Amino acid sequence: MRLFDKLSGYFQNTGLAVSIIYISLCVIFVFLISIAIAPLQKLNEFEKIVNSDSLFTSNYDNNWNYSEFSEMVKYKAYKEAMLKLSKKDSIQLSVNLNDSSIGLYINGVNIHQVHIKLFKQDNLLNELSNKQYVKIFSEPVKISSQNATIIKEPIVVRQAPKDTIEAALIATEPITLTQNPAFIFLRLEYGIDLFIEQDSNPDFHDNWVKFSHYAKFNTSKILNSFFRFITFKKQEYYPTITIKIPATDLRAIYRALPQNAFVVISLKNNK
Amino acid sequence: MRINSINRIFQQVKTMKLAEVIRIYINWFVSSSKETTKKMFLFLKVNLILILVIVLVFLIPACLRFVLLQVKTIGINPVILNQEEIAVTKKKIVQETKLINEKLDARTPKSFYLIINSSSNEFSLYKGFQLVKTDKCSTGSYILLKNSDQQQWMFKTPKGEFKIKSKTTSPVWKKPDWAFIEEGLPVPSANHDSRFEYGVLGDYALNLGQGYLIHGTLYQRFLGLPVTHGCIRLNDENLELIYNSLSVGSKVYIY
Repeated sequence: MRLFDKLSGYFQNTGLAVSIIYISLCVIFVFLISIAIAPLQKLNEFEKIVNSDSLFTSNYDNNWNYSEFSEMVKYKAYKEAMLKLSKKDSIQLSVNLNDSSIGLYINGVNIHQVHIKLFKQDNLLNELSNKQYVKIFSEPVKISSQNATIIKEPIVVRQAPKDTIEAALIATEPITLTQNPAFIFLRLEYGIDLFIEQDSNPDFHDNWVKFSHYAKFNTSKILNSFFRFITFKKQEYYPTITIKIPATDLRAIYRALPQNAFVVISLKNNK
Repeated sequence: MRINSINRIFQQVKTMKLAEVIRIYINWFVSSSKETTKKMFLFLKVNLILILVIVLVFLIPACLRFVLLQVKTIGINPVILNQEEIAVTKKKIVQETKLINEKLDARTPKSFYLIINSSSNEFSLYKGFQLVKTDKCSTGSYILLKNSDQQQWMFKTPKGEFKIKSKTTSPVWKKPDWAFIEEGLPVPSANHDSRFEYGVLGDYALNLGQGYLIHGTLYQRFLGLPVTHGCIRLNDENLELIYNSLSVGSKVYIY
């Protein structure tokens, strides 16, 4: 009761406006704290995924956790995932951050290979233990959703001409040559986000497209965080990998990938 | 009245020397900035707690995120192995990886195979892991042709893994219905003479199945562009090379 009196007295003295500011700051603080601890919750999620698979846990050799084996174990996990990917007969993607390459594969045959000019890997992914890494990345990871600034199939609808004169009039140069700036966003299984960008943005239009692509993504991310906060739900955290490759390769990769494609990822070993 | 006063000031400034004008301007700036700084300090003094709270509200979560990840890493118990265990485990990992690599390499055909990039309209001919030739080709235009009878045809090159089903020399093109509809011509009967065209597909054709062919073209200027009805067009020289390199059953990968 005394505390309540003190508080009400304080608010009366300082005024309503300042009180509202302090309350808002408290709310913001709690909101930011909930976001701050989200990566830790994500790590715990990864740990739960490992522990829930008893077959994997029993087959996993604990000696692999030895720090010196980190690189070898991760390379083996990548190759294992590639072998599993080679049994899928549709076009699939491989991202190898260790040798800075991204490639397309059908039945284990490399059909397109590009050098990654620049990449950024989320710090959380560096914190994965060998066991967690092997569990997640020794299998192809499913792409759960795709979003891009370019279209997958640049279809041009054309009405059949009525006669030869009309046919001669509509016979023009190919329309599909028009190319838009390419930025791709792939959300993967386990809540990992993969951004693939064109490596150079020569004009204002390219930069504007990039800005709006990320703005759209970030706005929905903030709104989702806020919604989760007000409904008392756990905040989500999506570790991101950003890659820059030439625009022509990016278009080829995006157009080649089917809707439910799989990705094999080899992360840069930063340990 | 106002115009008069402005004029008077303008006259005064006009008569002043430049140095004088600059001096007046600097004095005004210094005195006003002093005042602003004073106000700023006063604001900081009065709202010190509020400002500190705002800073902490953003600083604490940022620090917390950093610290939590560090603590998580420290929490993991390091594995300690003796030299023998290290050597055995290392050998096992190396052997297993080597075996996987061998299995992966076996997936790539040892003989000739063709890769078509329908996005950049390029082909690459490989023998095993060795690139033999890469050059321009033409693939599907992605045109969706619709006619008044609710019929429609999509002119795109299919993607995936294909095999050469058959090979022919001096192929004859039997024009399908869409070829007449596209030109605004009436569709003739199934085996009408007007359906058969000689020499338009080049000297060779390789059949990929489902009506898709790798063939030559009369329109060499369109090579490198998406202009076909789904087939793959090559120039005469490349067509001959591919015809001679690929045999029935050879793999063709289109993406």
